[in-house]
This record gives sequence, C-alpha cells and structure tokens, in this order.
Amino acid sequence: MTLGSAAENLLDIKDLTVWFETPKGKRLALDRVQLTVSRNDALSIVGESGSGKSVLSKAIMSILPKNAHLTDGASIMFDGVDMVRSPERALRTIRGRRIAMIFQDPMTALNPTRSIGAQLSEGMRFHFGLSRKHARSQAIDLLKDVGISSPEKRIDQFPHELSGGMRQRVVIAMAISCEPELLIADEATTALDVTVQTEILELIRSLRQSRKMALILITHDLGVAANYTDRMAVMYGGQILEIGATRAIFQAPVVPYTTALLDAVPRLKDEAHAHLRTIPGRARPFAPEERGCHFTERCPRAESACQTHYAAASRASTGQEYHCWNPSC
Amino acid sequence: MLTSSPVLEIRDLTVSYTIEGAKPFNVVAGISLTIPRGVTLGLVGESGCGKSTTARAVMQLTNWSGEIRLEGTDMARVSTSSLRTLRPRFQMIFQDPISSLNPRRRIRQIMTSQLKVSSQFTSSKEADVRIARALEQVGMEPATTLSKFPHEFSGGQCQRLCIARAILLNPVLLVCDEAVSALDVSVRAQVLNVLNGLKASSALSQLFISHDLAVVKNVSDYVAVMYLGKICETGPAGDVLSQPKHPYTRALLASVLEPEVDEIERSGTRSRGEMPSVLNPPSGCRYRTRCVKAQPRCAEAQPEARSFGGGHEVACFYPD
Repeated sequence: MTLGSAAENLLDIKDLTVWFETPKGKRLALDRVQLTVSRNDALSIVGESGSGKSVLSKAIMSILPKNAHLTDGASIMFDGVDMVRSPERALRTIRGRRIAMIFQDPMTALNPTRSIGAQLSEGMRFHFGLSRKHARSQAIDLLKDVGISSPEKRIDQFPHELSGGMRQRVVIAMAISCEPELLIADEATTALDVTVQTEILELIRSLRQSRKMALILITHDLGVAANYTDRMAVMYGGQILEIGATRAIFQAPVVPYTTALLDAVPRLKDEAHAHLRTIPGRARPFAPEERGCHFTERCPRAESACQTHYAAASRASTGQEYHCWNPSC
Repeated sequence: MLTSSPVLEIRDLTVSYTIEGAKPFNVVAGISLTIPRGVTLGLVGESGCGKSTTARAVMQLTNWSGEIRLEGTDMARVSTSSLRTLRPRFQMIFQDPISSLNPRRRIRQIMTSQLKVSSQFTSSKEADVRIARALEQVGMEPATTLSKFPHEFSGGQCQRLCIARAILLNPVLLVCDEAVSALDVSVRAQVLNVLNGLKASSALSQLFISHDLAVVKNVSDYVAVMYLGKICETGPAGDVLSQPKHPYTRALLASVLEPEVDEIERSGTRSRGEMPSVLNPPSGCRYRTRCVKAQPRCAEAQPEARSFGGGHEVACFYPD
C-alpha cells in the first residue's frame, strides 16, 4: 500500500489517459489514472456503468480496440515490462501467462464447439509447450482445484453441458492454468445467482491465497468489493476519485461521490420502505478537453475549481488517497 | 364485496410447459399467494425458480391452471374481449426500460397511445392533464419530458417513464419483474423511492419480483421465497428476512453480500451445489438435494405450508 520503488509493485500505472475516436467525436474513457498493485493485493475497482473500469482492465492487458488512443505520458508497467510500448510478441508471453482475465459471461468466454479439455489445455501447451497428454492431466487437476466433481468425465464435455456456475469455474481454471501473477476478474460473478456468486468469490479468494496471485476485482457491486478485497478504487467518469483500504473507505468515505454511492444502496438491516439517497443528474460521456473533476455537475459540494481542475492525490487521515477539492476529512 | 376482496388472489397456480422429447413439466408447481389492497409482495428466488412465469400468468400472458382472482374476478372465466377492458387494472414493468419504450416515438406519443389502446382517451386536453400527473408522480418534469425521445433519458429515467405509463391507467396492481436489476446503484435508488412513494400516495398493490433481498426488503410489506416452482416461505417481510425458518431462505440470506466491512456474522447454512433441472425435480421437498438439514423423510413427502403466526408460513419438515 505504501508508495515504494517501482520494482516492489507488480503493476504500476501512471497518468493513464485513454480516449476513443467515435463518430460523435473524441470520448474520454480514462483520465489521469494512477494505480499500483503489489504482489499480495486484492484490489476492487468499483463504479457505475461508463465509469471506465472495464477499459482500465483492457488497458492493463493491452487489448484495447483500435479506436482507443493513449496519451504520450501514459505508462503501464507490469513487473518492469512496458505494456504500452512493448511489441505484440513480448505481450503475448504475458497475456494469459502472467496476467489472466475472467469475464462476465462464461458462455461467450468459452468456445461452444470445443471440449472443456481442449480449451483448458491450450494455454499450457502454448506457454509451457506441454504435450497433449501432460496438458490433459494438468487440466484434470485444475478442474479438481476449482471444485468440479468427476473431472475425468467433465473434461470431455462441451460448455453447453455445464451449468452457469460450472462454466465460470472452468473459465477460472483456464485463467489460473498458467499460474498468473495477476488475475483480473471483470464483473466475473455478476451474471450468476447469489448463492453461486458467493461460491465463486470464495473460490477466487482461496486460489488467490494458495497461489499467491494479486487480484483486481472489477465490480459495480459494493457488497462484493467490501467482502472480498482489501483495497478499493472508486471511479467516476474515467477518473479515480478515491483509492485506499476498503475498510477505510467504507468506514469514512471522504469524496462526495463515494458517500452518495454508499448511501444509495439499500441494506437488509434498514427499515422497510426507507428513503434512499439519490444522486441528481445523470452520468454522461466526457470529451478529452474536460479537465475538471467529472463528478462536478452532480456534486453537492462542488466549487468553481472543481469545474476546471482535477485535484491531485491527497491522503486522508484514515489512510486512503482522494482526488477532491472539498473532501469530508 | 368487491372492496373487501384482495387485489390479487392466487390458489394452486400451475404453469406447465412442454418441450419435444420430454413429458410436460411444471415451471410453477401449485403456488398460492394473496396481495391485499395497498400491499407490496416481494417474490424472491434464483433464476429458473418460476418467479417471472408467475408474473406472466398473473398478467395473462401464458397458459395456466388453478385459480387467479384479480379484485375478486375469476380470471379463468374472463373472455378475451373482457380481458381487454380489465387490463388497465393490472400493469407490468420489465427489467430493461429502454427496450420497453419505442425509440422512434416521443414520450407524449408513448403515453397517449397507452390511453388510446385501453379506450381511456377522451380529449387531448384531458390526456395531457393525466399524463402530466403521472409524470409528476414519478418525479419527472412534464414540460421538459413530453417532447423528448427515450434515448434522451438515462436508464433510471426510462424506468420511471415506464412506471408513469403503467400508473397512467390507474391500475390496482403493478407487477414489477426485476424492474431495478439492470440499473446502476444511484438510479436504482430513484426508482425504489418512486415505487415506495406510489404505495404511500395511491394505495397501489405491487408484486415485486427480484433476486436481490436488500432491494426486496426496501419495497415490500410481505415476502414470498420461491424455489423450483414452489413457495418455501412467506410472511411479513420483517419476519421472513430477519427470522427465516426455511433452510433455503437462510441460505439466500447467507449469500447476501452487504456493503459493510464489518459483516454481521453469517449463519453457516449456505446451499450446496446448484438448482436441479425443472425437467426432473427431486421427489418430496424440492430443495432437499441442496439442503443441509435434509433427512430421508424429505425425499418421501412434500412438506405442506405450516403457520408460525402473523401470516408467516413455512413449507419445511425441519424449520428453524
């Protein structure tokens, strides 16, 4: 959590600004994002739709679409490797091998025409040059590790023969097959039922601990972030507004957006029919020229400086960093 | 007579589907529910449990058997033509508000056509008054709303427009099928506030379907928990959600991830595995294959609902 030398951090993102060329003009997706992830981190990135959290995960993997542009100063260093400027050949030895990703929909993440075993072996054969036979036995072990019963039978089945929860387990097995150092889960449990969701999150947690992986959990669900990560970043309109220990942010949020977000969530312990706080206005796309804090127009504590300047990171007494001209601390 | 009868009364409702190569199967397998006037009933359960099918049966959008009474009217005996005149009494809002609104029409046209199809359109002047009132009830400004297209609104605003369109006809029952599930946290709160406000101001009854227990707690007076086509537990929301008696309700509650870092201690009664196929439901209690308390008896007979007082009913041989 402390700002150490670059080598201590597995992932070091500096001044990451990404904009898209669209028919409607330039659209800003990420704005001056600073983020570090150390080897034991479990970091959640929370935000509503359009906040840029998925673009951030794609940028880390260097799989942004062609109409995405990074500004010159942007830097994403993964264990000393420059993910922005390295040649594709070098990136291929990192993607799937050292950084793995799990997506929301396991059905589209899996190829419906190939068996579970074939898909599960692919990464290990490509990255480690394993024989078909060796990869198959490894794949069976992996299915066991992710809690799939009778893996010898499942390995020859096809995705449509498995339930949604099982498919997501297979996707996780694929992700961890090459023993990545960083696992990115992009809304990985959003499509699952609540009882299955907790099982999958518990699985990710235990794998992270046993395999010493760092985790970036991208979610819109504050409950998932609170229960399964140690650090958390709150994003709005492509900007990180608050980042730090999950506990500190939940107990004493300092940025108005974080406070509003926490107040807008109904809780089981609340009274029935309790009035919920809402955030006036609506999220909108931003142009690269809009240099201020993007939450300004919906913020109850906005000042004139907010419109034109995105505040530099400051540290709250409770430990988290924030970007706000008018924090509640 | 009419005023004393509940807004919705369901007795032994069954909905079966047939697919090629299989015997007919019950998606909804004999459920009973009652919604009195002005009351919101939250119907919760995992995907595939039959909660949306229940909503479709109530809306007369699917074939069903059993008994459904809306304000005392036996829906099995209603002809297609009289169904048309009854439809304004019960309205529905869906999960995706954007696809529920015609993207090529302005809000004024969308609202007016709602009045026209239900033969409630008398004059433009009167329609405008009614539309304005409905929009105000959901917190939308008529002057700036009417001439716009749906794409000019956020998801939460679109859902409020869908609610406005539904209440335009002065329904007695509003069926909300995962109406806030697709919305972001901050706009979801707006819609929940609107639904709570309608309950307070117009005594509208609601059947609120959701998989999110905290959301259900926020809007409901009564809760029914559904599993694989059956109701496990039903009763006042406070009782069911704070003193659950059915193992499945306990498992659902144990899976709720509250946005708190100091989690209230979780009971260790999660479900095991996943929901079996509705094509081949387990014998006896349908939950027994995942239940931590299952005994041989659970496989032999189906537990009947037992009353625990105050309307709290549980269908389990070994309730807590």
